[in-house]
Amino acid sequence: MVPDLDGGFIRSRQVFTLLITTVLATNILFLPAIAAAEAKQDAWLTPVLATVSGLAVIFVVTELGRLFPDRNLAGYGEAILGPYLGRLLALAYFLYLLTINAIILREMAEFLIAVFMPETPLVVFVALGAVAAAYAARGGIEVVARVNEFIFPMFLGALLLIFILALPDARPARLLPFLENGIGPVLVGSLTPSAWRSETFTLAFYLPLVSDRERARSAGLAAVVFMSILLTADALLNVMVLGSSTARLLFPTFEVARLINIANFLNRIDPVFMALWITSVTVKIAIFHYVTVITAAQASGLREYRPLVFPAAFLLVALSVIVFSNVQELVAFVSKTFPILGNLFQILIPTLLLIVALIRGFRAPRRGSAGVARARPADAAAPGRPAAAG
Amino acid sequence: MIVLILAVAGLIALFELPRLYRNQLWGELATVILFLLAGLAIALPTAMGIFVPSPIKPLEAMFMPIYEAIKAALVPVPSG
Repeated sequence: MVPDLDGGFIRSRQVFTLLITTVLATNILFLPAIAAAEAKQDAWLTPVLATVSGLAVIFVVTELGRLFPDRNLAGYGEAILGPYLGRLLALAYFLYLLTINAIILREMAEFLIAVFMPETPLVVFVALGAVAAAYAARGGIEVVARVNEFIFPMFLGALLLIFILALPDARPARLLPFLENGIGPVLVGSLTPSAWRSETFTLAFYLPLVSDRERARSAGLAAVVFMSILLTADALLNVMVLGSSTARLLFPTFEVARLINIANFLNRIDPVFMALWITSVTVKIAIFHYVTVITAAQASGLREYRPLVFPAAFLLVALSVIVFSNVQELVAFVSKTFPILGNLFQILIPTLLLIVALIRGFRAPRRGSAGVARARPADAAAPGRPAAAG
Repeated sequence: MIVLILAVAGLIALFELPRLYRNQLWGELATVILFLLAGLAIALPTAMGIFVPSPIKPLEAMFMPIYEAIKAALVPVPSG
């Protein structure tokens, strides 16, 4: 048994909204330009292709969750690969998640600096974002899920409002010529969206805390489909409103919101979008921070994760400030390194874990047997965990 | 700035460490100190104007060539 570090529970409905916020919060702002850089006017096809990896991740993660109901992704490695390789894998995931969260935090700060407050030092946004997210993460996944349930409908509403109000500016002709250079650029342009969509793999860290587990998979798959529809609509709108300049802008969706002007009366609605976007990204950072700290606690065999939340946030802020020296480096990383790195950690490693687990003959425990019947010698030999290893 | 960083790290330590010490949660204690020291190791030199290399540089060196290779295979004409 892996000790339950959190003690909270969430419902599959909350999984649905958590997953959508995880991907949508930053995707909607940063991704359209990156996808458009390769795929040009076919950029709207990239979210469609990325859906496949999103669905695959949910399938793999929930299948692993079925085999090991009381473990999360930081614990699967220990069950499947043994204590040493497993701990090493958990440590690698901790470093990965910490780095990715530092980048997410930096994305938020860079956006605020670029479009709203160019004079304010970077560290102010980074530190405030981290404190808010850490406070939520310290409350546990239940708190994060509830905050998200409150924010999600408003964010969705603002997004749909922008979609509708921007329609008068849309020119469908800007989508042509269709597949001008063949499917190749679209496939390359899909790599980053795919890495982004597979951030749904964070589900693997709180899956044991979902109380109606049998519905977690359908909730996850529904979330991926739902976000794909929104992101495809967003990409279509970006290209139809901004045309070929989508790739040259940093934040196309935001520019679309800025362009909205209904009868010279309803305009400048972008602060509404900004306010809801910031809350939404803060929730995303909270989710990632929670997952990072849980992984750290498991990798070092601790019984509590809460004391680590603020110290880890301190490290996160420091890392976030030095990780890039400017926004161009951020875009370069997200468009050229993250597609490979993200897909590796979020799709490839979980899939390999599942394959190894199936080859080694792990079977899902029967319902009601409460994880006792995980009849494999490797697992039975290591029931207890070393009490506390720094 | 340096004073501020030390103050924040000190406050976090004051907030977390006494309870961990009383409850003899040594693993947690060690991890908290490790995180704070790692944060200070990055933050203090940066505040003093010393360049701290970013951990993503080796990642970029490892993974960017793979991306470029995939791109070269899929997109025959180099696009601007």
